[in-house]
Amino acid sequence: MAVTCATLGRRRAHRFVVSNRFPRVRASRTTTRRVRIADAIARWVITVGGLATVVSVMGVFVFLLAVAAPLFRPATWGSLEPLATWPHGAEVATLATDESRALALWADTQAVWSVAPLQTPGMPVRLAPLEGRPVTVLQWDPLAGLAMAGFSDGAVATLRAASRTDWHPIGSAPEPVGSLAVGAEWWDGTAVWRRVETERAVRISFTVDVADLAPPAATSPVRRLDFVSGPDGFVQVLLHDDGTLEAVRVRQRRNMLTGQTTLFRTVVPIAWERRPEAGLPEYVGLSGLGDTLLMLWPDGVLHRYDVRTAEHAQLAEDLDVLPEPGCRVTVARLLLGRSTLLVGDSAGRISLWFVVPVEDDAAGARRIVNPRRFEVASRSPVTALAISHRSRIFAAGCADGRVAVWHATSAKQLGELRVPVEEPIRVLAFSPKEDALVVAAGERAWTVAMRPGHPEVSLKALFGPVWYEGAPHPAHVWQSSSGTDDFEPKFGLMPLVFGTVKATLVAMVLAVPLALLAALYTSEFMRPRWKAFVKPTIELMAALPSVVLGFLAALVIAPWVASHLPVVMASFGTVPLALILGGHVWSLLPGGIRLAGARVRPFAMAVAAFAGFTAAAPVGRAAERWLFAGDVMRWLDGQIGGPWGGWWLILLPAALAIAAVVAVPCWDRCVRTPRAASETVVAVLELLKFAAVLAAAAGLAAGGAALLSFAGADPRGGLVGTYVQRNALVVGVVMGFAIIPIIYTIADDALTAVPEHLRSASLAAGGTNWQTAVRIVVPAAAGGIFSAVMVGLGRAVGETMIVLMAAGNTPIMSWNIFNGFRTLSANIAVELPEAVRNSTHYRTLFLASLVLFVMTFIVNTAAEAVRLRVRRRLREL
Amino acid sequence: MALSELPKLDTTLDVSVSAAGRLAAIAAGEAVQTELHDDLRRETAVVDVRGFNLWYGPKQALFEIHMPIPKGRITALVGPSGCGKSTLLRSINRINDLVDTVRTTGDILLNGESIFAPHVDVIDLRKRMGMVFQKPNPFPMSVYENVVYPLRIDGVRDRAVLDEACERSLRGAALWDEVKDRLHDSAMGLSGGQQQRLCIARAIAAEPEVLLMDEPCSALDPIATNKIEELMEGLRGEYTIVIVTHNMQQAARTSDYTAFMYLGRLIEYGSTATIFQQPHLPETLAYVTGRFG
Ligand SMILES: Nc1ncnc2c1ncn2[C@@H]1O[C@H](COP(=O)(O)OP(=O)(O)OP(=O)(O)O)[C@@H](O)[C@H]1O
Ligand SMILES: [Mg+2]
Repeated sequence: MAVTCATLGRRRAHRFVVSNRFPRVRASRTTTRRVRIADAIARWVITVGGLATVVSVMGVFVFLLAVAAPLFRPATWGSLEPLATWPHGAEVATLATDESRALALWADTQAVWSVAPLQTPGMPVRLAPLEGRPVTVLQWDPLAGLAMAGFSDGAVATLRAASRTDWHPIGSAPEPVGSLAVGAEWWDGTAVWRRVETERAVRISFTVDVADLAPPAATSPVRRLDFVSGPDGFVQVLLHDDGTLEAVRVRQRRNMLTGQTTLFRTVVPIAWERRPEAGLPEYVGLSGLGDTLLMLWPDGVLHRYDVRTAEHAQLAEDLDVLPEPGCRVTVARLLLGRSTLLVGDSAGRISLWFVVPVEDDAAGARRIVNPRRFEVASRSPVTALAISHRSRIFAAGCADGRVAVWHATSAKQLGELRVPVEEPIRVLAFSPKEDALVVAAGERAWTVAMRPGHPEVSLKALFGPVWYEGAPHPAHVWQSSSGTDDFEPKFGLMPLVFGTVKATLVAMVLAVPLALLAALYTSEFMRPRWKAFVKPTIELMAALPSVVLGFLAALVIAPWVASHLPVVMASFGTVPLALILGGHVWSLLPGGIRLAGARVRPFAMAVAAFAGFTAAAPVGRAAERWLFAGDVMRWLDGQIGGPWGGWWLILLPAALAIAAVVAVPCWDRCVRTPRAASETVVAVLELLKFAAVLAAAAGLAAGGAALLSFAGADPRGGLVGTYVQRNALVVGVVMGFAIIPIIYTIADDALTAVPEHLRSASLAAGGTNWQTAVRIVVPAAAGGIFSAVMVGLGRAVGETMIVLMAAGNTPIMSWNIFNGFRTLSANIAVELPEAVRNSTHYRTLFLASLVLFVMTFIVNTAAEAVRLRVRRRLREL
Repeated sequence: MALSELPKLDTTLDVSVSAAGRLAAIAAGEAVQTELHDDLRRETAVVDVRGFNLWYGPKQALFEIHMPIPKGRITALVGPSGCGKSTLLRSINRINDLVDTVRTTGDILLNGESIFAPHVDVIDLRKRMGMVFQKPNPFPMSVYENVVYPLRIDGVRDRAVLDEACERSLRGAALWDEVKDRLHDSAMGLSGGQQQRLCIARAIAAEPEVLLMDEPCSALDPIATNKIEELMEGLRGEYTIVIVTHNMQQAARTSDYTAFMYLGRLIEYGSTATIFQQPHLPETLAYVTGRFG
């Protein structure tokens, strides 16, 4: 302080000198207005920008959530609306409504149809197409618009029973329609008129007429009847009173010239095993493909006939579908698609049965399984079953007037309702659009509006294994669409999550070591002049659009790898080996040459790497001969060779690690390098040591492989297996191109940012470059390196185009690196454009994006947490 | 110092005037003959710098340095800032090799053997020398690990050996009492002066033959400085120490020999007593008495 004052004093004394050096100090220093305003603006812009980022990320999350959340909303139900008209006293066999929910339709056991307005009052109209001829059995499929009636003389009539909608201008419609409000209905005595617009109305009517009356094949009365219709005809099964069972195949052919249809009928009698003690089966059902015939008796006996060839039908299975004695089968129905049988019993249970292939059976044997059972809360006997014609939803009505609705696959209950009378439910039906349920109990009937929501989706169905129809066991399946109408979409997200994890893992396993070693090399060992060339080159790789990489992977690399698999696999070993050997050879060179050659070392390494690639071809071929019985593709497929070769190769990396950890200290203890040894001697000893480690690893792997093979384990089916051209290995290699530059750049920056004085300190303490790198530089840069890996991981998790194009997109869960997969991101990219807006599929895809979002969020948060910890530990260098 | 020695200004005025002419000649690029005192020739040189030149890129930082560094003695390197003291020090353990642009001619011998000979392992060379840098540079590790680092990289795993070396070195660097309870805390939490002493402890942990210290006390308080000087005192005879310092009293107090450098040249080099009391060259006198530049 004193010094300063003294100086100032002197300055005043020699003002003319000092003022040159120090311009006069202003009396008061103030921050100008402009600076203040700029400061305020900057602060605002930064705050707003930061908040906007947070808000938009949150916004994306909220948006995804908003679209996906309705998946989990329960079904909604309207109230029970009593039906205006109901055929008192008639024995209703089948109940239905038309598409537009204007008509209530029912058929009694005598094939007399009644049509009544559903929404407005009005007297029902009766339609009796068979003109009073006594009917022994009636089967009506409202969806197909087909009904079949059997007669006591053994004949069968085919009826077309369908509703139709005609558009009329108001002018040509009957007068009362003109006075209707838009949307209102009027019953003209035979049909419903609905005014849909001010100028137009529709007439919704129902007609039924006889299409065909087949002459009796057997003269005994028809007692049971079932049919399956297809595009060019239908198949019937008829069970006559005397026990004759016939399969009737009817093919329709339309004459193009006359427009007439001719029916070609083939009748095949089926031999079946009767049960004299139980009489005729109560229920006869034909599966949707017409290949299985089910017969069910009230005592619970179910016979399954294989009727793939009706002439050679045979009893395939005979089982009891009732879980306990003392109860009886009360009602049975086939679910949509006619593959799943629902069996209701007198104890309020509905069990579900379908045929599945027997696993590992080459002969194609099948068996029937019972994957699920549903229970009505009151355990009152099931009296009626209804199926939806759109999905796997079914309703069960009980003797106590309760109705329960479930989804057959997800087992989710959509609701339970109760009619206001204590009487058994007689019949039940879903409207064709699945937007209402018609219930009849006692002498009354009701409709109830419903919105099922997305019953096939539940957390369990999304993330747990689900036992789908026709599958041998519960499984995680993603299959969102198919060609057929009665196909059930399967929304298991696990295969996609698995695919994402698999892609990420394979890519990271290949990319992380390479990228980090490259970063370590360029930051610690490479001359700056070389680095100035190498680093931008690697970074340029990141500029390759991933669609180009994907395209290359799918069309160039995948086929090439498929035809050169042994070479590719061998190069994973030969290239590092060549580099290490090259290093040893380098240290064997005389000191002078080494010193002079130091400048071209990266070039020498490139030569070594190239030599490694060249060696891969013969090594690969030799390995194929010795390890894989001469053909690796067939070996992978499991056709030839034993498991030993595969195990040996898989165990080799681990064996190398063990050998390096165990054998190196052993060697160091046994082989003492003489104090005065020349460099060449040391280099030779090092080379010998390396060879010894290799030999030890090979031996270790051989032993392990022999042990595992002896124990009967085979790597095929696990980590390796049948080769598919577009597979995880190809994706891993190509995704490496995308993520290596990122990981490399960030890691290299982190390593380079380690202050030079730390390196100097370590080197001055006598550390080698390698010790300095490993003990000082890498730990100091650990946070940055970790960030690099995590950024790479984030990129790999979200990477879309490469996996889309090169992964084969098969949503399977197999660790086989030679098999494909489908990732969440690729799945979204593929399916979202064709998903119907707000459908289950659409919302599930949004849920998939949400899962992806959460996955990357977790990865990034974990990364950030770890990075902060690391940074706190290494506070300021 | 400048203020306290102000009165001397007049008595040495004539010296500094004549010195200024010579220094101006050096600045102009004229070659100088190092004034090497005879008593140095009686010592055995452990490090012998011979005709050493060093360039940072196109810029020459050291000119024809001839400097035998006597075994078991403390040698002080003094000179104005930027004259190449650190550069010379860093050349002795070849840590300057790290700077990509460095080019040298001439030779430096360690025990009569060139340190630049092709067969010399630079790592072994550095293991024989400890170095304390101008700026404290502890590793981002615990205090303990910092100190035993030279032993760790030599593969010493024996806990007892490490513990012993740690305590001995820390005591030697006058840091033991301050850190003995936080040996396993991060070294980054130490104060600047403590960090510098930690670096000294690290430099002496592996008991090097030669200890190169670049302004070890510039960040230390007088008490710690005193302790470091005591340490050097203790090491005298056993170790060869080269210390760079801007503190003339310290040089005068601690060293046996003093070398005065200027603009990359070694101007005068002799026993400390002579250099500080009757240097052969007037510019040396000007510098050591603080009347300079
Ligand atoms: N890495 C480098 N690259 C280029 N020039 C350098 C480098 N290090 C030092 N120099 C230059 O070499 C000359 C000598 O520097 P040096 O650090 O040896 O000085 P010094 O005597 O230690 O100074 P001080 O007392 O300030 O530490 C200076 O002119 C400096 O600018
Ligand atoms: Mg310096």
